[in-house]
Amino acid sequence: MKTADVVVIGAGVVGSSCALIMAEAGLKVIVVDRGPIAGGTTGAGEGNIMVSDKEIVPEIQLAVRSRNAWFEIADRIGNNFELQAKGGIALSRTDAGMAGLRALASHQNAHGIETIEVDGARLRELEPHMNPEIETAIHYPGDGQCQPMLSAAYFLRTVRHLKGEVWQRTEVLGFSKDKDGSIIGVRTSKEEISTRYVVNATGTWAGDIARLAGSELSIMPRRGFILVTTPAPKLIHHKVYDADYVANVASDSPELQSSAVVEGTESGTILIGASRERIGFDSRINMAALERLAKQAISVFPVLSKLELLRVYRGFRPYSPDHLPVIGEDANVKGLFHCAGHEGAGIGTAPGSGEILTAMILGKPTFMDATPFLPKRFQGVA
Amino acid sequence: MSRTIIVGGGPAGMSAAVEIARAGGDAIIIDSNPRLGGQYWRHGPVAEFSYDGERFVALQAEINNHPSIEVRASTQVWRASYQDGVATLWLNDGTSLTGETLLIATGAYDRSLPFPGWDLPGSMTAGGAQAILKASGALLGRSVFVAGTGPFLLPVAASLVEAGVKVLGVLEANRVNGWVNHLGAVDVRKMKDAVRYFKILSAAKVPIRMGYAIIEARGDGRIEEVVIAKVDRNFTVKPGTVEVHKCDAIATGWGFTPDLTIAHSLGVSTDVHPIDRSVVIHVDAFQETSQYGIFAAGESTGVGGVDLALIEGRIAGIAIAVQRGLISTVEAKNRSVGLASERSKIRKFANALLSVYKIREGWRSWLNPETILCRCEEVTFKQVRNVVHDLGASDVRTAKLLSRCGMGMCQARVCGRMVADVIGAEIGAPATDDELRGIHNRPIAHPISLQTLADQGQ
Amino acid sequence: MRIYLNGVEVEATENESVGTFLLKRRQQVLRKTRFNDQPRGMFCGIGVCFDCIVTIDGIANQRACITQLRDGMRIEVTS
Repeated sequence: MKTADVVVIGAGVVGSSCALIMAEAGLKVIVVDRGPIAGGTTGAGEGNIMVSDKEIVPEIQLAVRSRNAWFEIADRIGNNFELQAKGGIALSRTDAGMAGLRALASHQNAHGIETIEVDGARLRELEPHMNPEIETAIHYPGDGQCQPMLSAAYFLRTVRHLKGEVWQRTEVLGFSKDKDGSIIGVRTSKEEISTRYVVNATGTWAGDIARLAGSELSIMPRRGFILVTTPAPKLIHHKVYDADYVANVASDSPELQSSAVVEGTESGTILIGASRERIGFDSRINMAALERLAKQAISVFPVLSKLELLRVYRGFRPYSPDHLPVIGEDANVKGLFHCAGHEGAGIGTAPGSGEILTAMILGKPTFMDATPFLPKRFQGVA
Repeated sequence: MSRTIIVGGGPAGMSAAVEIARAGGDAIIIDSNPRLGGQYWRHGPVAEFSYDGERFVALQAEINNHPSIEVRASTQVWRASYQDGVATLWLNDGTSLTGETLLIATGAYDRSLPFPGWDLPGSMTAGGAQAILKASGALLGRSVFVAGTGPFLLPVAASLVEAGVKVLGVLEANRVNGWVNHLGAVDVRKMKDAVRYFKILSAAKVPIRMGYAIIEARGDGRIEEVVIAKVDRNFTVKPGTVEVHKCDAIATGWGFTPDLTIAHSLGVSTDVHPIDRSVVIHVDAFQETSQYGIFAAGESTGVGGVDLALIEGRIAGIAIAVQRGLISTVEAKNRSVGLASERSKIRKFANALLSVYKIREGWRSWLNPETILCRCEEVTFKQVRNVVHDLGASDVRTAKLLSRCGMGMCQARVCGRMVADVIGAEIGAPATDDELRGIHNRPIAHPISLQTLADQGQ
Repeated sequence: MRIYLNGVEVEATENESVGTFLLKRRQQVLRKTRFNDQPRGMFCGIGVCFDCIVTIDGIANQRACITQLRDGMRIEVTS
């Protein structure tokens, strides 16, 4: 039987962030995943480290701290994961839309997010290829980007160097508890691990792990998909978010109310992501959504009409009933800590989430009031 | 909807179209080439062939004479789907096609192995060297080596000689003895072909060297010389046999990879070939796939050459005619006399060739740490080793996503299989059947203009 | 027909692909790679490998081997 201070279930960005921060705090960590490294949602994400899209105060606090934590991690372990502070731009071409963006920006600004309203001339400096008809936007210097799979892999590499272990292709079969119902071990397909603390960082599968431990947690999948263009010289410098829906009155289909997020990557490809798509576990490509995204992206950057679509990739974003992440100890099972349901923000807010959990496990104060994230908001207290 | 969609206008697609038309049915052939004929009968604006052109001319004449066959050339399928018994193809001109019956006749392309310098200009696949020659008389170089494995190297070298290229040698990595006799046992035409190639090559004094391989190409900005060596039965270089030769181009080929991109999108079941582990479409005796109404013929069901492709195309065409209610099963039997036995005879022989001309794993010893494996993303052998040994990638997909190997514009068509083998060797467990299948998963089959896509949504 | 190769007008007579047209003009190198700036030319010759990509009429990444010449076509190569 193995012994660990903490067993982290899930080798995505969220699990590997938790494992990294805990290992750095001196804890002996074993990461267990039924698949390979970053085999789930992490492998199908853009690598968003965004502050610009956060609206609710606790989410803003988590995002701001996490954003800074990303760069601190890069300083500590080396930036091998294409982390860059590229900045974001949110735009709207309607007066009502801009009014909405301004109101959000002033709210965000009051909570520590840097926001700058920019005019057409400044926009052209920031994004020379942007449609000249767009004359105003909000610039968010704090938005960043990373390569999520490389991030998870390098975090876990550091964990291994800190005497932690990473068990891939290892299924969690059950939990051992003492007579008070507290966790004392994890049974896996490989071998049993004696531990007092378990972190459930399994994203869309977090509910399954909660049930396996005798509790419950409602985490649902939301489909996201990303268009990848053929490589081009650097054309787009920021994460550019078009807040206007492509209005389609004839259709009430939710995936047609898409908003494009357009950005360049280190490898030269351009990513066009759909910001809203609440649809089930159907992984087929929706042609209408694809066409609208292409159209909207070209309307922001006409130069994209000269590029081609190379790939489409799809993933399922885990979300909780109130769309806030679930971070903290299970209300029913002592020693089981959840860290899941980050929806589209899991990569960006992973380090802050890991810091909160590490503080909780070590009995230290958290950097923010984490009450809104506690799982007990959905769970009957035992 | 009653019209049969044929993807690929090579021998299999052409012969199927003719059978469908003879039975009174309609068909549309889609092909990315400007002209029918596929890779085997690739030709320029004038249909001229140095040999075996008669069968093409006859097929093309019949296709031209049937108003029920439409040919859409220079057209690419960028996406395909199959749902509720209906196949849909999206074409790069912004249009789409739907049909209840579809034939996959997408053929195959050269399988490549990497070696230092294989990315230099002047290095082409054997099929590529022949394709540019057939299509427009273009020559890859003045003095070239033809190398790799497989019977295909001979016609490539022979046609280069006929076009006036100085062929410095044909290097066959496998040691093959007396295969011409095997040929004769099966097919007189093949026997005659082989004799013809040998005559051309020996008249031009082209050395044919068995058990030799190109292990490196060098040059400043283009190929100037190659390093060749004798290899053992496992393809490992024999010490003391290295030679350096001046040349300005090389053509290398290591057999073929069936093109399964469209098949994968249509969701048909595939097999992993027991001999070379290539992924091939699973078909029944009527060339029908696991999806009702979707048929497959030619190299995509397993590499077997032009004669097999023609027969499979005919069998598929006749079966389609029956399924569409155009002819009775009795009539189908009359039209199919001898086809099934001929198919199994050629298939058996094709499998024998696959065994003889297998890729042996010692080829990996030709790599050095800086050798490019993924041409598109310029990923080196060292980088792939690194994601396995330093970052903990424990399967093909993870190694690919962490290294970007296979993530480029060709979508792993060139390096996918070879990288899977490299990763398998590094991990210590060969790629699984499903990992090999996964290489062919390309939901966007070819790049499509964002503007074309946007215009479709009008 | 008239073709513009890196802005220079050239005459083309044959109905052929951009790739073979350029190869016959001794233009073996068609582009430089985006990470290591290495020269590349035609490799597979049949539209599979995307090594021969050039800019045609302002659209980047077009495969020279399967794009047929057209009158007035503008081709940009890097060598």
